Amino acid sequence: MATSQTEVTHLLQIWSQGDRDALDRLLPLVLDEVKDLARRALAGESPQHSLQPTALVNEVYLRLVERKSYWWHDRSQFFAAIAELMRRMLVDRARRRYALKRGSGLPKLSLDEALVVGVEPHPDLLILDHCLDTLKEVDGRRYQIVMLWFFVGLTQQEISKELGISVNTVARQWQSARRWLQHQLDTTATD
Amino acid sequence: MPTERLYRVLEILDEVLELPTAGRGECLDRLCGDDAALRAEVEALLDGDGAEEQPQGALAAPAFDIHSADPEIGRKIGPYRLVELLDRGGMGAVYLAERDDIEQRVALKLIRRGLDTDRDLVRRFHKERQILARLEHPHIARFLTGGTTEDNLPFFAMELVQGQPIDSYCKEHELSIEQKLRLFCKVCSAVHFAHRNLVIHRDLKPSNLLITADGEPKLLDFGIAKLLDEGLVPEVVQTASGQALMTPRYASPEQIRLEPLTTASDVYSLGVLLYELLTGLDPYRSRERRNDEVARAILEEEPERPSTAVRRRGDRASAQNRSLAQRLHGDLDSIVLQAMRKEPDLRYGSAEELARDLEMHLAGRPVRARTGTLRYRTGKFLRRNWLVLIVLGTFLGLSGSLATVSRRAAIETEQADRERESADEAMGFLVDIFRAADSTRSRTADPSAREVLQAGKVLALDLEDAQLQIIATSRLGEIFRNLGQFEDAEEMLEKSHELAIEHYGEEHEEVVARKNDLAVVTFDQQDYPLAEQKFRQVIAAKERLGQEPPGFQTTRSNLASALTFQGKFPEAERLLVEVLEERRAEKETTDQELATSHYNLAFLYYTSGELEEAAGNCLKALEIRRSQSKPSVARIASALNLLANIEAAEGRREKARELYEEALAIRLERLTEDHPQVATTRANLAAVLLGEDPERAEELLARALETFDAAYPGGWQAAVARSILGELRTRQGRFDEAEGLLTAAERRIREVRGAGSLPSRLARERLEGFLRARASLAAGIEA
Repeated sequence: MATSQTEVTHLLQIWSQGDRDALDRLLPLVLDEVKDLARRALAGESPQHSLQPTALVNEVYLRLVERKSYWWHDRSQFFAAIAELMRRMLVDRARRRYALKRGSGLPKLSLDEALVVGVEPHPDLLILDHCLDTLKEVDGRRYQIVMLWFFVGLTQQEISKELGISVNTVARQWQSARRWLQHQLDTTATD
Repeated sequence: MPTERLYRVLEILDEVLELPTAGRGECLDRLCGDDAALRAEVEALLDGDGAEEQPQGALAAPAFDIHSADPEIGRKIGPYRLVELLDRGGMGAVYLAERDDIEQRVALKLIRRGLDTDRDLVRRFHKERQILARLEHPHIARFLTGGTTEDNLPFFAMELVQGQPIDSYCKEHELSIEQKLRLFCKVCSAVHFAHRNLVIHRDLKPSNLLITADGEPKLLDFGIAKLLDEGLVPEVVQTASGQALMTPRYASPEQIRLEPLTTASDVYSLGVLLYELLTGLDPYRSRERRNDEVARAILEEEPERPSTAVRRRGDRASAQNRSLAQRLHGDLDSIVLQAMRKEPDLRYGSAEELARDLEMHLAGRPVRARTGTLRYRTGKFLRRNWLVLIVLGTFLGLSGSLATVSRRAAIETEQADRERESADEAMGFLVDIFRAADSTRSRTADPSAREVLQAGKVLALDLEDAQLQIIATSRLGEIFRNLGQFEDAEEMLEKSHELAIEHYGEEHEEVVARKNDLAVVTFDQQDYPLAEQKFRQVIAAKERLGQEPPGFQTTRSNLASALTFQGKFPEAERLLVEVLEERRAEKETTDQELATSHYNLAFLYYTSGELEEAAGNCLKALEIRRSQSKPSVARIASALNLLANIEAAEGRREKARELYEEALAIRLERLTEDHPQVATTRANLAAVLLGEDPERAEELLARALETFDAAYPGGWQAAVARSILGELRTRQGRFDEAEGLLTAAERRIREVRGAGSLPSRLARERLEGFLRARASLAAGIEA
């Protein structure tokens, strides 16, 4: 057992218990793993195949999303899970940084406060997070497209494959969504 | 914005964006209609739109991009340049690296950024480097050089292994079992080499065992390996919650329990790996279970035998699976399971021993694990059943006081006879105990009685004292013989014979006694001509030893029996009469011996059809046996059965029936339900019940046949039972069935027992009776 895994688990635990600082140390460890896994998955290797990272990401994922099932049923689900994981981690980090910037001790953040300050790219992520919630409610598939692009970095080709829709559809829906998101970011930041 | 509204806006946007800027107004007119607000919202999103709008800020690039280049790529480290990320392990990353000056590609391992402040990790990294540096072996990735980077991070370069994990390699190249085993032996040699250099790998799994393009295995990743000479402080790696964070699939029980590890832990992981390579299945169904369940299974569950797993979990219908199961059954089952014992001490002592057993198997020689498995399973069984241990010990002459008694058993004396008798009795006892144990056994792995006896074989062969060993093997042979397991009996008796020759020399009484035992088994196996030949050899040997014929009456009687069964009546009669007369004349003759002589003669006369003579001798035998101070009920039952046969042959069915019932009651009381002697009496009784109680006859025959077919496949006993069944079918008018049964039975009995024997004649009579019945029925129909 590698120490780093122990470390990761420990960090995850204290992070989920509210220690936001843990995330700074956690992210570099997890991001690499996730990246590797995702690359392997794209290359057609089963995520189960490389056991350590899978177990690791499982742990991470389980703790974050509190899912019962241990294995992803297919690759699309795997990517969806990764995307959710990354979203939560990155957003949480942004929230924490933002809170630090504002000098408040605990990162109890409301969107309004973020709008007032609007100094860093981090609040963008927070706005984005909020918009994504809306988008998920409005159009699940469009939400998936955005998630896979933004939090996994899949290309349009890859997204079309994962979601089983044409590249054209992905391109079209992504463009519209991006415009809307950009508009939200622009307007909230300058308001 | 309400949900539906936004959905609509995005939909419109989808369409509009497809169009060149010029055509968009018209499209908006159409899609938005009179809804000016809607149009405004869409237009807001189209605002400032060039042909290719570049997103800004947060949307400029993915927040997390799996495609993003690793910043380390291209970096120079020592003489190497990082070219490509190969793997990321627990504490570091492995890169493909090249030298600029000379052509060399290596695997370069770097401690992970962000972790370099972790002193424990840096220490481990150094340790891995240290471990690798001492392991130079063709099947271990070679250490090349080590150093520190400019920013003071440790790194080292290893031989670049480009290969495929062993499991997928085996699958893809469709390796045969033999090929897999040979490959696996090489893996064992690498692991053993590490062990000899005081390194435990602790993380053996397919992804750490790559097979190169030329088919050679390479062991990688000593990242969590442990140096044995560091002392035995357990390196407990735990999560905060106290739960080990490790995929437990290949972990040993002691690893799960976080106990100090020895090289036996690697042997265990090798066992799991071998299990998976051979079966394609994981022993603890790790893929279907949660990690904690797998961990518990590793601690508590006995893994299924590989062959069983293939049969049960694989596609039953597939012939390939069936043959795989067959191939695994036996040696390979035992070898895999021995490597996977829960108790480290019971595994192979080293990876090399494991490999050696595999090589033995490949060479078709006996493997150690077989004996180990039996001993292991027996040990487990016996710990719970100490009584069995005592009985078994008694049998094998393990206790010193029994040794002398047992030795006498080898000699043909009355005591020997009595010994056998008591062995028979104790055998029944033993069998009962096994039965009881069997019925309460857990579903998984308790050995059946037969398996315990198989283990007895091992125990017997393990005895230190040569004489005891000779006796024990001989006794076991006897037990197997009594159980009707003639092959095992033969194996043990041959062993005993061999050992006796070794110990006493060829020309020795003990050796000849073993030869006699072997001839008896041949007789049991119904090869009467061969048995005859062997008995004659025994007699010749005894004569060479200077014995006079009165000294080997038993062997002469045995020879007579072999002759009787071949229908060679005159010589048999001459021998038996001689023996009887000798015995009558000798003062020291026991009742037992006398009774046996009469019994043998009765059997001869019955077989040859001289029923009056038969009856006289049989009654005499019965009388002697009944009058003994400690009568042998088993022998009385034999006499009753024979007497009943004679009565039946005389046509006195009622009398025969009474005698059979009595014999059957005795045998059922003393023997197991499926003992051939029980079956014999059942079949005989059925023969006299055909007329009055066809239902019971049918049932008796069915049970007898079941026993005979199992005990003596193709033997004459089953043929006799079928002949009787044929008669029953004749009586029932089921002619088609009757004809098949009677014809085949008649032929078989004639072949084995000789045309002139009574059983043959009876079978022929039944066949003829059937032919007559069918003819008269046909005539009746025509008329």
